[in-house]
Amino acid sequence: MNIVEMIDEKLVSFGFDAASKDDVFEGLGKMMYDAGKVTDLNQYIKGLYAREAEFPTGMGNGIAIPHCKSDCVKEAAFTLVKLKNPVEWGSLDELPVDYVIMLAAPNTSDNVHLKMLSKLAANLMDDDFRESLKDATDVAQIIDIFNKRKED
Amino acid sequence: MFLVAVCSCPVGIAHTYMAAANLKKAAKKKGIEIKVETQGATGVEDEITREDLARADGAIIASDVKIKGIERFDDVPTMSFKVNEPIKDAEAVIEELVEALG
Repeated sequence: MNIVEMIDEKLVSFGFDAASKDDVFEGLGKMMYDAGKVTDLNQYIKGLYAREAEFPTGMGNGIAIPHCKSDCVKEAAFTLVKLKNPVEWGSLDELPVDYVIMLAAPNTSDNVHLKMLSKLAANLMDDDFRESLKDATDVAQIIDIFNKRKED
Repeated sequence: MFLVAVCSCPVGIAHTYMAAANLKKAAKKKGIEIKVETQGATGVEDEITREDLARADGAIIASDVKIKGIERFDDVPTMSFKVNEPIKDAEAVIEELVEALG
């Protein structure tokens, strides 16, 4: 299993229009739903808010990773979405967010795909990976960045 | 110096692994050996064993939830953090423990 195979163009955007965190949850939640990753949009968004209530998912450097694990998730997935304008998030570094990697995790024992999501999260701690991902302007570049990273 | 750490978070797919990655990165930079156990949605990985604990100088717990096997650390100087703290600044977390160890 390679994380590159999990990149779904329907979940990638290079200029998503959102005015707030709520807009991001709704818009990207809908993206997940439209891409067939989530079977119940309301339940999924509720799950995102429930997780967010534990502590905000803004990890700093302009990136947020809202996520939840739910029965309504059909298969593990992630968005790679650059926002047109930064939105307030309550991030660790208190800076607004302009890149959102929303994760959807199914409530199964499908460990392979869950591990892929975890690996993606861990890779975000690598400065080069994170910055080149944020700078990417098309899917081919994203695939390149993921491929370069996969050996470790 | 040898440190051990355990990371865990509410959902167990993202923050656990970001905290673990950052602790390893920071320890490497400081030339400190570290073993990081993750307790996530896919189970326990890189479990801290009795042998690890026997030679550990200190332990870091980075978690917002109750971790499994906390009693393992009874005899090791242990500091607890929120899982977000090593994500924000893992070097500061390690320094805090190292300073406390003297």
